[in-house]
Amino acid sequence: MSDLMVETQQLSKQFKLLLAVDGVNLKIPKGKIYALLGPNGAGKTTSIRMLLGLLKPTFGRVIVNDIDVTLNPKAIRGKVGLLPQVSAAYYDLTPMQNIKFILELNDVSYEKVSQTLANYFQTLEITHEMLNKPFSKLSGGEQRSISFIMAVITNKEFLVLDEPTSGLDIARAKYIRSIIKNLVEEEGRTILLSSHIVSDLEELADYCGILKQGKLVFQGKKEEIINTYAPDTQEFEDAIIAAFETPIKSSIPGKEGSQ
Amino acid sequence: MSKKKGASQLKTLLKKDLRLLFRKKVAIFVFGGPFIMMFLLIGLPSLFSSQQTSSLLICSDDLGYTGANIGDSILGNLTYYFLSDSTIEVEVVANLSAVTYTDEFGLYIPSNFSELAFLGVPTYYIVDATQSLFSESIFATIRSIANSVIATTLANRTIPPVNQDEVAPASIPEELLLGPKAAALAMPLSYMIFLLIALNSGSYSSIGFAREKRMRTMEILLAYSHRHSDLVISKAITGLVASLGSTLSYVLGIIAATQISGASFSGIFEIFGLNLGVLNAGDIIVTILFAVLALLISLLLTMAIDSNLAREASERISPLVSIGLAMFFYFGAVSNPLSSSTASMINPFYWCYRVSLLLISGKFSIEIVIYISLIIALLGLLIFFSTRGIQKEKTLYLE
Repeated sequence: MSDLMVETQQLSKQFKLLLAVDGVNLKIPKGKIYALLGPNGAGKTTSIRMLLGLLKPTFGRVIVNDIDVTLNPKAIRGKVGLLPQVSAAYYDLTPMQNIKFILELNDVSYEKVSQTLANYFQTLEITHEMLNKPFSKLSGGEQRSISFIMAVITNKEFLVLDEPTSGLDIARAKYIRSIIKNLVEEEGRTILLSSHIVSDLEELADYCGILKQGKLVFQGKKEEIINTYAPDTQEFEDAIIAAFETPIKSSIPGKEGSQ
Repeated sequence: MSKKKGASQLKTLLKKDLRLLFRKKVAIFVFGGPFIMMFLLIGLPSLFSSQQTSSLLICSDDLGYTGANIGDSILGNLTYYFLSDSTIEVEVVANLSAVTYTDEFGLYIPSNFSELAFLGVPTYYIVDATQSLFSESIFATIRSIANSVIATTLANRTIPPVNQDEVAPASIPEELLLGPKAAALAMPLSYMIFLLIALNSGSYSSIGFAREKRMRTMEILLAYSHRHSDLVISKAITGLVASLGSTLSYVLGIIAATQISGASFSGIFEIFGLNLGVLNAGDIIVTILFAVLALLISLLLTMAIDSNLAREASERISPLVSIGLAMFFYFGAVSNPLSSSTASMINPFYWCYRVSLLLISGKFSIEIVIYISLIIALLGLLIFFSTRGIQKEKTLYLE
């Protein structure tokens, strides 16, 4: 049994003329939060889809929880909790119907998780009324919160959360971060967090990797970045921005957020 | 993964797909549309026009030259074979001129043989019966009855042997004579298959994968479902429900309109032309089963194209392919109900149609085995290609 939840070897993906992912060697330890950072188009989502067996790598190997996904992509199906980048739910169904659909699809009994769900609803300020009106009638933040619940309620050992706090107000983003922390600290789950929000890295990540134009330009403990560049400083943010080469949203106190 | 778990996922996917089908906006379109359309297009005009009947047989009960009522004898024999067949309307004709000037297709038997006075032989006439809505086999039966009646009734009379004049007759190979049941079923079945596919083509876009791509739910479905073929099967079953619901709505629309118009209506099967006087319950079940099978092929064909093409192209092209094949099948069946041609034999809808006719006529041959094998193989292939299609990169990437 490996200590790594995810290990990729020279993972590459070519789309016609575009090399979206180029020789990436990810190492995500079990029971930790790994933040995969990078600007739009850096290859985060493509990498995630290859980890989930949804895309076939052009080259390289993917191992998730001792399953060789490259050789046997079917074996990974249903074993990873997923929050896609864009809220993916049935807009004509209610949030409750969407949640129950995901639970049934993953063979999780509603009764078994009803207390956990109630806690999530309370924490994320999801009211009974919201749960019973069409998903399309909810605000963007509410939709994102429901999508987050749909991803984490499936009790998967490994969770992939693509931009979990994107589009959320400050309060909801804070609650989501606290839930993510609890999932790791109390339940021992492993989380791959894809984000371009620096505060997600600061508050949550144990490890991080930075993707730039499909290449993994940095991988290591969060402290390594923080020790190199003192947090809450211009240098820290500049280092991240330099890596991304595009402006990123800052959540560092006292700084103007830029997109 | 256990089979139980797999079945449970299919059940969950099906529940979700059916729930999406029965949501208000889609239900009105899929189930309400055909009712309103048929009510307006077919039902209301029937208020202003009389029902059409088809004329088939013309006999005279004039005793004429022979003094024997051969017309009644033939009719008696005919109704023995085709009891309660309301589709055959008997008209009376007294001479050859009346036959010549009629526009009807069918078999004309001037039973009094008045023509003998001029021709010297008893004669009956077939006016291109193969173009009738009724099959050749009915006419073959009638001809054999006519010959038999003439031979027995006129046996003791000194009348020359029967001389048969055929006006544009079709030569019918023996193997195509599938019997009266197949003859009664041929047109209704081809119509039923075409109708089911035509009604289905409009509703597919609201239940197919194009919608999942638009909602961006494909990623979730692919990540969580153990067998991706379950996604295809669930959509196919939902499509069947939608299409059968649309058809029922279509039938109800006609019934409602005919009730208002006061026209006689003897049952749902009459709408499709299914003659319960000839066909029994088993025949009707076989008919419906193979019509539904043709519909399933149409759905999976649409899905295979839909899932293998990018979103915009798939929404436009996939229904056209299915309906195009259905049209080729239908027009082929209408022009030659019981014959096979190369063009028809490569059409999967024809396979369903042909097996149904063969089964109902009781002709259990290798042909049935070949067509059923082809149908099963095609269904498997279409599920395979649809499943492969939804796993393609373009499903997730191309918008």
